[in-house]
Amino acid sequence: MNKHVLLLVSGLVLLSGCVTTAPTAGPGNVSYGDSKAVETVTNQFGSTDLQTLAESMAQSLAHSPAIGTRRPLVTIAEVKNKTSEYIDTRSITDSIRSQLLKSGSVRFAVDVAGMDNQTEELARQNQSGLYKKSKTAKMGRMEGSDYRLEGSITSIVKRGDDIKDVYYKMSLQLISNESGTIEWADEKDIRKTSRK
Amino acid sequence: MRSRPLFSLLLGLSMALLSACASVPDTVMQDPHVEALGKMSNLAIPVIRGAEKNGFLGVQAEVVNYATSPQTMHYRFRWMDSSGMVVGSEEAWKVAVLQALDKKFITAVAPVKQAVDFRMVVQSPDNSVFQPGGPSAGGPTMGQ
Repeated sequence: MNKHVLLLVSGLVLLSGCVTTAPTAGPGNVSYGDSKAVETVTNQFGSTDLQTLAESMAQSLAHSPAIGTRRPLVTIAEVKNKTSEYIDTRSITDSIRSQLLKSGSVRFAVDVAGMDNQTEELARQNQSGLYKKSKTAKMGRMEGSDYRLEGSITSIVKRGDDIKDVYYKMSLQLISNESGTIEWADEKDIRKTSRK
Repeated sequence: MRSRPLFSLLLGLSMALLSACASVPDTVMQDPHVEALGKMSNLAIPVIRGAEKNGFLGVQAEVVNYATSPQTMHYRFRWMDSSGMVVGSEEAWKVAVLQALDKKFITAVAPVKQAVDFRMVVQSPDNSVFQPGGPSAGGPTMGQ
């Protein structure tokens, strides 16, 4: 009998020696997920929609004849949210900008939202008297952009007794600042349907 | 003798049902650039074409739905440079819906000019048969 108990205890000790613990801290009710997964939690605008729109628009613009191999200077103007829900359009344009910069096909100038920081930094370097004259960024050397990127997101929402259908459409256009001509435009749409 | 018409009727019905659930014919091969997560029994990507476009690698994949019902497919591309290293950020999974017996062309362009080769990673949630030892989750989705 004692022999059996000894064998059992030995077995348990050996088994516990094989147990590996994950390098995590906490009770385990929080987990990380795939940030690129198709998100279908609700049919409101979500991460998959943002990623899909940004990828699609960046690809389309990077390969348009308007861009070519000249690496033009572009600035991002406003993307209007014309849907009935809150969408951070800035986040979409930030993603588009990142992907275009990585592609090396365009350069970006500071946009209206970043202009305050730009002028403050220039003023600090040139007017505070704290910097060497030879090492300061000179005033009056900013470059005006060749094009501006602007657009909108719209949605159509339809509800039935047990169904909700949402249609999103993002339109983006590249406008020449000098001539005012539209040099590139594209649309990307998404349909999401949910049932109760 | 009366059972013969009944037998014929049942046989006919069975054949009709079987044809309604048509799957990818054995003769259709997936393009070697396709990496399927599990086996897609209703969808096939027999041809993928790649060509340079403005200095970037452009791709067009032909997706065919052999089923008589709409099918969903998740996909994304992986881009490689001349030495086989993955270039560009990891892409988001995208969704394509194919109507019954429909054919769709999916296009994509490499995010960087260094990309000279690619793989199209696909997963169909409705008909994937996961291989033993393959991913145990129900695909690249998050939600109910």
